[in-house]
Amino acid sequence: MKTLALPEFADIPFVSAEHLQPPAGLATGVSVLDDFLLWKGIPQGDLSLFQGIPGTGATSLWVRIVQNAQLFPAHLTHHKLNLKKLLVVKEPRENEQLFWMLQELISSSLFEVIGCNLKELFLKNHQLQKLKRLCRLHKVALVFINQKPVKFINPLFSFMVSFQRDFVTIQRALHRPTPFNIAGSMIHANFMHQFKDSARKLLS
Amino acid sequence: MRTLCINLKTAQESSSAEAFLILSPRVQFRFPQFIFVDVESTSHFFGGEKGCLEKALHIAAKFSPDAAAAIADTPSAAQVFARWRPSYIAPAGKEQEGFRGLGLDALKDLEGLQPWAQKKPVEHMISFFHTLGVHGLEDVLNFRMNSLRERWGDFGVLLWNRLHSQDAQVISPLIPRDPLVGYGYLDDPIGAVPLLMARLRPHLDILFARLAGLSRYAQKVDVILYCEYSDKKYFLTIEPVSPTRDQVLYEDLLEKKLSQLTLENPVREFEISVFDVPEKIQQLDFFEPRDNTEDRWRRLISFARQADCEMGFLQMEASHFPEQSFRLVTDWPEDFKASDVIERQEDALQIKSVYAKGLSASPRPSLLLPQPQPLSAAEVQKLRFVSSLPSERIESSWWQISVQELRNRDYYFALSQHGQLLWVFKDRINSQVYLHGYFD
Repeated sequence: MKTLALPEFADIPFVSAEHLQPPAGLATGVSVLDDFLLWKGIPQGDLSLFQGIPGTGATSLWVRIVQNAQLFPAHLTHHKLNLKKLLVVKEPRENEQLFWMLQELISSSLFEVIGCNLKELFLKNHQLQKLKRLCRLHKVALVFINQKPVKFINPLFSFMVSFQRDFVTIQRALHRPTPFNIAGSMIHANFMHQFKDSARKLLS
Repeated sequence: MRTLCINLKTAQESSSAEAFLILSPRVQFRFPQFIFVDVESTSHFFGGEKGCLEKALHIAAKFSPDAAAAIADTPSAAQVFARWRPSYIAPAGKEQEGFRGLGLDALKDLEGLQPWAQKKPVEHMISFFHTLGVHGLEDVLNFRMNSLRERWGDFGVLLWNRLHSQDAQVISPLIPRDPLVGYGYLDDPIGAVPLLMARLRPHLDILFARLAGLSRYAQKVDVILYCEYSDKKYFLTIEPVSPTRDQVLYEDLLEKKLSQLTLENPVREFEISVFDVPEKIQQLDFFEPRDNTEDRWRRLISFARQADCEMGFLQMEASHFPEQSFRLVTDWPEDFKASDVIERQEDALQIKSVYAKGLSASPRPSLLLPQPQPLSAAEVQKLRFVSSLPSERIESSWWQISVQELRNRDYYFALSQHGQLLWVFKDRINSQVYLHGYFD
């Protein structure tokens, strides 16, 4: 027999797990990540931050989402990416211009995912707040890629991943125990398609 | 001849007639505010004369908010109706029916393409009819031509002819010659963007209405702002990525540009000139849907270009040098065909080899450095090369090989201390190792 600790809550209908609608997300295609996250991918209509020094896989994870920096088209076409559906913006010179450009891109409601490689620039908190509100309104997933990882976990980003040498750390995610480490090999195997190409046998 | 007369109520320039070229090629402007259009053979394009009238009023609204129009057999009667019976369409061949109930003052408007030379004879005639006890226009129709000729001579005959649709006035085709420019002088100089835009907008309305009439597209719009006191001039050029007649886009671009401007003094005069190009006629496939998002793309790219920010689509180019193998284009990118073209002509077989076709199979990093970055010997020591043999060799023709341009490369994969996967190359001439990209 089940008894409730607080009898006044006895007639409150609790929502069962099946009836919960998970928040919208865009699948990354990397099953380890998608299964872990409540969004089943990166959050739609919210800000995400991928951190990692260049060469650790942050950009490739972003490209996986789009498949659905100065990106290099030869790499993109490997992922069967339609170049006609990818608008590329050269990096702006100033912070203000970056912020303005992001606002324009989000509010044009032409895009599902916007990736932004923050090279030297970084946005201020009030700017991030404004972008977050715009993203929610236009249902755009805005992903920042930061090549200079910082330890500080900014609560404005609802999803933060840090790419390190041997593992990938999820620093922040909705309703999930964080930080959470995933072995790098489980994720990188999805990116380095070149090495899986049997015709060339680069790493036999 | 069915004639549409548009009374614009305020004095206009003769170039305003160009906006009505949509309705018919036979358009004539009469000073100060009348436009006559011969719609005899073109009204069926607009679903009859009623549709034609509505269309004309729609265009005329850009010139004057309370413009009126009417259709009759002759220009003179059409002008009377445009003044006294707005939106009236006289029955063909029986326009005199419309004169019923109109006062004698309407005679002043019985002009058409040729206005009365003097006001006095008309006024005299009206007062004379009043003394006879004739007060309605339809009663004047009862007078015979001879009796009018006896009293007023040729003037009387002309009036009788006009009343009885006997005065033939031919509207000739309009050949547009006026430049697409607008000029405004502000009595109270303005320094605030919303106010200035409100003054610029009517001029843009007129210019774009003329563009539509001429069926041309605007390639760029130049705006010159003249400041008060100082002789300072501000030149603004608005040029979207492709010619368009989208006035809202131009207005938005202009507003953005104006808001970035810091004026020395308020603006006293302005000048707008539109550079036009022929309409691009695009033959659409029968089943091809019109892409509405394309306009939004162009809009966004035009915005970015104005803000000095490069934006566009990546287009693959046939080059084996990675840094030359792509280009940023503002239009839709062309597909890169990475396979040979095999043409068959009866028994003959011709293979057209495509340059750089191996590109699609070769491994490429996701981040490419714009300039290869030379690595010092110590840095190279720390790298772990994945293979001892190069994965790829890229070189240019022997007569082009030079040390400066690094045209002779052996590419390797290498792992750094921090677990980064790098794309490095060794220059075969000076044996220097360069970092060229990241498999990020």
